[in-house]
Amino acid sequence: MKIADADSAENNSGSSHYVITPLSCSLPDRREGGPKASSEERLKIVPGTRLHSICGSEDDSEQYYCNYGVNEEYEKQFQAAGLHISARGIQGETRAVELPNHRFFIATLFQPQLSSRPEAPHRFWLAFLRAARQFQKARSKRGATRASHSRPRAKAATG
Amino acid sequence: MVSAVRIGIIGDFEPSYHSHFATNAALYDAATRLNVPLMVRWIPTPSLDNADAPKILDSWDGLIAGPGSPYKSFAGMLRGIEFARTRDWPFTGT
Repeated sequence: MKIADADSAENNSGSSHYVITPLSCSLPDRREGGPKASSEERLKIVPGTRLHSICGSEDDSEQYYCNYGVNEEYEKQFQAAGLHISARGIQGETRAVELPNHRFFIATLFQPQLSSRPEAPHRFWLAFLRAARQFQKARSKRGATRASHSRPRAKAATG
Repeated sequence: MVSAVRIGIIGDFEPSYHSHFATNAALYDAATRLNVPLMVRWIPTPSLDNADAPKILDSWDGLIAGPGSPYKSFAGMLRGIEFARTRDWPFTGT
């Protein structure tokens, strides 16, 4: 975004650009003693995003546990910097962002891990793990090529 | 033998934080379903606040910005995210 002192208000740095600020509204059903967002919220997944291809529909509902979120004043700057908004809350708040030309780069305000269960793993984590496994395979192929090139040298070094 | 997929969670693990525990658990839920051997470790944020950060991060197949801010080292967290963003590493922050 080219904002040198961009910061989260939580860090209290005195920055003039807090791009992450306290959530303005609490979610309904907030847990007693919990953060502002500590319950489930219905949200809209933006069609055409990777998140949408993972979730498979526009309507979703996710668990939260947080006090801070994207400062909507910077929404346009986030977008100009290449981040796509991939989910919005009921009031249009930014709930997830992603980089479109990236292998897998999604950040969410909600926590899909809170609703994953051994018998029903969350599709978000399935997708992330698949991406990591593919990346591992691609890297190990490259690594194997490197290793076969360097083998004679390695032998010479030990022999 | 299939080698384990290595997931590094950037963050300062606190066993008493439900979100932390749940992050580990959700990864293992998914790995079991996909039948993928998995290794998960937390990478403390202060360990990334130096020039060796890329060397540390390079050994993971996927990186997660763990929940639980404020972090011990915000700079370390940012280095981790920047690494994933600029080097096309599988990444999420939840």
